[in-house]
Amino acid sequence: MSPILGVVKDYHFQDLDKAIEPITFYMTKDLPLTYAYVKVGSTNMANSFEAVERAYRKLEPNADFLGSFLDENVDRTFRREKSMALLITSGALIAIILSCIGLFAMSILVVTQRTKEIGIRKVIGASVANITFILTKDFLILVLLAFLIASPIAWWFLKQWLENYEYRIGLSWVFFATAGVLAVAIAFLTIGTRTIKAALANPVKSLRDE
Amino acid sequence: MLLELKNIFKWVNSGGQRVFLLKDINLEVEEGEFISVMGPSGSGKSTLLNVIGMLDTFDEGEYNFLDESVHTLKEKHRSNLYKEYIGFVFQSYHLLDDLTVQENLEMPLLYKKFKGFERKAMVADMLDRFNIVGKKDLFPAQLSGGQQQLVGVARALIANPKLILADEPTGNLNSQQSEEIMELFKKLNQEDGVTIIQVTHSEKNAAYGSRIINLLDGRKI
Ligand SMILES: Nc1ncnc2c1ncn2[C@@H]1O[C@H](COP(=O)(O)OP(=O)(O)O)[C@@H](O)[C@H]1O
Ligand SMILES: [Mg+2]
Repeated sequence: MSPILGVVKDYHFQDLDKAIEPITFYMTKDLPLTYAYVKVGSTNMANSFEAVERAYRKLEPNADFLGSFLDENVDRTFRREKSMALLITSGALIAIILSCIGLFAMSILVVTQRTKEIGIRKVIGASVANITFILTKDFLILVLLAFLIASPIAWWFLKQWLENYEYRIGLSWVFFATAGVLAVAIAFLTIGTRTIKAALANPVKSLRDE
Repeated sequence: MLLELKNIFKWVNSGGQRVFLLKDINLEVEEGEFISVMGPSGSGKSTLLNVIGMLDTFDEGEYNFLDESVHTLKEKHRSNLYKEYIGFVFQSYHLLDDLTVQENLEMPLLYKKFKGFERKAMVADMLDRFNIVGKKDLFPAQLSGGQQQLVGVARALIANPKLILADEPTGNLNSQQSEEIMELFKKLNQEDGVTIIQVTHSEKNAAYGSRIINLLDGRKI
């Protein structure tokens, strides 16, 4: 029996998908030395590393020195998560850009097809806001529809994925609401340039009788 | 006085040169007048009508409508002014193809923020007055040119404007349909006191009016 020298906070000493289990550190001369932890200052880490290596070689001239920084070891356990996040983010980004290009082309087409109608509506009293709303409405309905379809699916997959982890955040509606608002905002920015321009155009040009 | 144009100039820059669309136009229009604008093609008749209707801007001169100086008004205020007092009739009718006759008539009222029951009453009244109750659920493509123009005039009139601007309203109609539209204008002018400015190529139509303005190369002659 030996006295308890200290208690540390819970921390992940295994992969992240494992629960944090109890762990006990012993200080005993009977066990062979496998690890030595050295706390170093954060200035000039390379020098500290060399100093530790020199000291080790002096104490154990016949053993290999396999030093490494603990925070880098911890980072390594995150690597899978990081690369997955990067993969998903870049995939999503490409998908968003491609959809926006499509949406933009569609807005040009629709605005061109409806030029005369826009002119007529303006002449009978529609404001710029009225016209922008008419032109934008159909696209936003599409985006909302996509959102309604995607949300439950995303929710299901996210839930599955999070099940892998013992310690996980809960799925809040706030994430989905944010995604929805972002989708609408991006769609509006994409088509807004065209639709507002069409709404501002002078109706005289589109209604000329020739 | 309903409106007054003073030394109106309008031009576009083309190849570094000023091309005048309107040159020194002076015009006074009293309430209740029926004016015909005539002149060869390209003489600026439509441009003049659009300036009067506040759809188009001008580069120099003064324009007073009722008690407002249009040339100093902000866009928003100007559009409120024409929404309240001016109705347009076009040569090619310019009805909304996807809407029925009834819906076409209601549209200006929607934009002018009339309430639902007011809109219903005004549309019903207009259908009745123009004898097109039976056509209210038809689409423009199902009507003859004359009937479409009738709807066009009804739409222009529905919010009780003081001024109707008609750009070659009978240009696409046969002589019998033209006469119907012109008789209608005459009646609106004489019985309801609506001021009318029409562009026309026909002497016969021009004779319905009380005054003729001749344009040539953007200038009144
Ligand atoms: N925005 C514009 N830019 C250049 N030229 C124009 C513009 N608007 C009208 N025009 C020209 O001005 C002239 C007068 O046009 P318009 O008023 O439509 O004549 P009208 O109705 O008498 O036939 C025409 O030669 C037309 O081509
Ligand atoms: Mg013309």
